[in-house]
Amino acid sequence: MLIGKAFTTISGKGQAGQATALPTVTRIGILAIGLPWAALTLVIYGMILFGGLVETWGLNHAFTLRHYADAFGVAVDGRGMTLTGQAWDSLLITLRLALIAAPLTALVGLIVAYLLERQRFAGRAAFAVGTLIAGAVPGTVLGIAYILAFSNPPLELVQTGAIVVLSFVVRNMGPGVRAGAAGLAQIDRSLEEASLTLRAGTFATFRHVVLPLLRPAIIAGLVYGFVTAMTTVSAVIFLVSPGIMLSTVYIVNLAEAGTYGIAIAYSSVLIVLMLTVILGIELAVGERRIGRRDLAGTVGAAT
Amino acid sequence: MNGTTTPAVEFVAVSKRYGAATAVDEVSFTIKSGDMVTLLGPSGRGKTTTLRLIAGLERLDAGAIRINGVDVIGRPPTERDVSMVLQSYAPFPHMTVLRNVAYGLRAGCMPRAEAETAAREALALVGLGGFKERLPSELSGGQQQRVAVARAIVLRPAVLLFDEPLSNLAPNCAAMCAKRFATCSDSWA
Repeated sequence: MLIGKAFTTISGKGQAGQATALPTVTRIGILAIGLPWAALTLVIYGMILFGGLVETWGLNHAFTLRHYADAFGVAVDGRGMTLTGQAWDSLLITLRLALIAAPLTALVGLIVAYLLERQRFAGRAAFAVGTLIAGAVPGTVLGIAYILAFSNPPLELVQTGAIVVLSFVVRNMGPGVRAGAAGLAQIDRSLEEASLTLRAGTFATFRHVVLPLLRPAIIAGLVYGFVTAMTTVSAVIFLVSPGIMLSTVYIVNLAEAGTYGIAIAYSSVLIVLMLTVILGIELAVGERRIGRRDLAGTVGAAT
Repeated sequence: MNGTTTPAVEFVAVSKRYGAATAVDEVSFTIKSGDMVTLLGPSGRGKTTTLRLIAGLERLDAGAIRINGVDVIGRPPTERDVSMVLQSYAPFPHMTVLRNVAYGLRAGCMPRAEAETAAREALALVGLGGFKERLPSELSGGQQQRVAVARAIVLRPAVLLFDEPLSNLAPNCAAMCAKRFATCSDSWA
């Protein structure tokens, strides 16, 4: 139905004003569904944070910082600071690989989205399916496929960080592609044409016109790329090795060994860490500012 | 627009087809430097396509196009000394009016201060001197159109193309703008 699709909403022309206020009944209905859901989410996260600060969750609720000390202990002596906690290695490796994978995921996602949305070539539909299929197959299948594909020269990547980053990028680029394609579908081609006739080349057009308008898609790609890289278990469970231990797999191992306290403390740290990085990404990429009508005191012009 | 005898735009048996539909069928014409020419016709008869062919936004199927005596087939829009005001105006929504108008000059590596001075002059010419810091979304349709005009004329191109330049203007404003176009055309010739 939407084959001859045209969703252009960003054309510079006729920007929409403020959204219409909802009728009271609808608003109450939406709040009645949304607020309990938000409360449930808060309770779940609250329980996790609580569980890391007690002796044994559900049995002995005496306050303790023991789990945090075990996981993220730091020793300071005359020679400086040493990370003694058992979780540091896996956390730092995971963080490094996720921070490498996130921009790559967003970049590859945007390039693929640009090809799908702005170029016409043979096999385009097959290419579109190919980019999404890695996100559709079970993670463990993908993990085994990677071991089989990259265990022999010339691409012997098993037991390296590179294979983990590669699997993150391929598996997680789907939402980045969709966000990028949706963002590009909203941008009227006439903006790019106008830029070209104003003597800005293709690269300058992409850099100064397309990219700033794609900021929401860039943020979506970066955040999704980072968060899923930090939290994926299935795709990487076969790719870890003694040298490349990842947080999620480490937490699973802790839980299997019955040391729930440390597992929960580790999870709490991951939650806070990810929130911080997501806010940092939003600050760094910035907002797409194309209208000010939502600001109080501004009057739209009319002639 | 230097008034020499070389035609500014020359079409030689140009054809353009979209699938089975022929938008431009062996069209030939010559436009002298300094002339202001209007293409008239019902909708869907290839007026916009003709302009887009000159600007380099479409590839022709047959014929030749020369701008200032130079064959421009295969040349991208950036290398044609042509500016075009598109039918949708297409002001860049994330840039202020001033940055919109200075955009082409900045793309040509002109220093910011110099580009902004030229942009201010162009804005004054279209009567938008007081709107420099507005975003396009804060302008009316007619004002956006004038931003697009200022953005194109500030580059002083050899060929200036307008696609439906007066369609969105109130009749009195349209008449005034038509006069201004004629004045601009005379002063550049």
